[in-house]
Amino acid sequence: MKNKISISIIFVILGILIILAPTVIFPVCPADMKMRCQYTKQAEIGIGILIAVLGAASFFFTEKVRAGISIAVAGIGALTIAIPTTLIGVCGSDMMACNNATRPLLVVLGVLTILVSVVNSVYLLKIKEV
Amino acid sequence: MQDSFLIKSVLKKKRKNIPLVALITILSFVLIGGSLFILVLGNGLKGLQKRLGADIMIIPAECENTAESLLMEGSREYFYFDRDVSESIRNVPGIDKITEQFYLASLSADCCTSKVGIVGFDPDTDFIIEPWVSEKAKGKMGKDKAIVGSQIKVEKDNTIRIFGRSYSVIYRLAETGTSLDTSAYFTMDSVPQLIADAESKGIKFLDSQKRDNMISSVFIKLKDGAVDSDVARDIIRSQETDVDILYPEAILSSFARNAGHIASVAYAVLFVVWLVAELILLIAFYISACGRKKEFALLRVMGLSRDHLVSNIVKEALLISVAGFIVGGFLSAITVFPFGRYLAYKLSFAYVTPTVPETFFIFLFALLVSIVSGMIASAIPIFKIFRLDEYSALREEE
Repeated sequence: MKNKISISIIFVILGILIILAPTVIFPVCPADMKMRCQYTKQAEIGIGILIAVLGAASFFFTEKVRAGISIAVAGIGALTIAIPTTLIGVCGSDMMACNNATRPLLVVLGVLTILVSVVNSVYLLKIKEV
Repeated sequence: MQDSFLIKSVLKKKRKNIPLVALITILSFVLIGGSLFILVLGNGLKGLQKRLGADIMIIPAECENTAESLLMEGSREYFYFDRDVSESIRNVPGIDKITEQFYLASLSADCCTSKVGIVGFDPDTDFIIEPWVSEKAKGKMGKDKAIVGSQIKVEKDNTIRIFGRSYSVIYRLAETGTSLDTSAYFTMDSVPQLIADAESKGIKFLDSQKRDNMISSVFIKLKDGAVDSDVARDIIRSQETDVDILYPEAILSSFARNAGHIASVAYAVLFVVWLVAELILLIAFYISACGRKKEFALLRVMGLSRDHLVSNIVKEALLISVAGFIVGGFLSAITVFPFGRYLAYKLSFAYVTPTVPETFFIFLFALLVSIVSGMIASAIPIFKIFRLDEYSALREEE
């Protein structure tokens, strides 16, 4: 029960933070400028929603399904990192907030998402099984 | 077997050990953050020092502040005067070298999502830019060639596209952490072409920028023994128009002094944090050693040698120190390093990304200090063990 509640809450918080990172915490360049960071923002909002929804959903399922959800979230965490770094990217100048603040924040949130989901799936599949 | 017992014993005493691990966590976090700050400050200064090779800089009158921010932060602003300024000072005594530069206000170009500072310079007389360019440069500077700052995106075929035209890049400068990194350097004869290309893309220019004989600044290197203020006075006398004089070297040395003061404050803060953490550790280990007298005595009576007991205490302190360092290191890895550039930008100081060996040494330093701090604190229980009288210790507790 403890694991169920805590993991659901952590995933929902991480999802919300991924949505807030390019919109509220370190907003990317204005929408009228049609820059790469704009598309990164849109993609990350989608990813954030997905992680939050999976987090909320995992509350209602058994341990094995939760482990599966965690593995999926780990993959989505990798996407969180790949979008601002390689898949879409951000603006080139490191004087811009999307480059020096939004991107590192998304990378950190992605790393945390992967870390939490991998540890959780290992815990559910190995330790709990034993 | 022994070690797993040790880990279990450390984990069991959560109430005592978690605050100690937290303390080491704070200590290593502050050490890593502080060392990075001092390193970045020093690196930024070194980068600037390399780039300010002139003793005197002549700029149009009333442009002193803009020119100063240009030198220190690399901001590109409009200011122009006639090339005659440079011609008329050739006979001023004390001058060794003279070179001119032309700045074009930051413009968005094809190569970059951000604005690029365009600098025109004369490779024949230049002593400001050439020294930064190492021997690895691909060929000599000339028309349609460029030297670019570290942040300018270079195409795979080693060219940059600016306003629809390609320029081959002969060298990419090292990072300075200022907007010099987003500058591109061209020869003076490329400048009219750049202006024409930019105009054809719809960018408006002032008439003063389009005239062929306009420059933005004159840099002067003095002969040995020449006094800068005397030369500056002669320069102003030789001019018909009003000009301002800047002393880049003097600005830099005052900046270096300030940076030096900030670094010493940072060192002092690091030392104080370490001292406070060490004192708390010493007190914590002292209290714990007093409370564990019976435990030590029992272990001794059960046949554990003094050396074994001492090694257990040392291992315990080591475990706490390393655990604290791992947590502190992780926290700083996800906060200080990713957001260093953002913080530096907000605090207006140059951020040069630390190299891998530099980062490694910062973490190693924090690890060593954490371990040494733990070891020093463990000296108290060790001392207690050597003075332990098992019989009375066991009796006392009864």
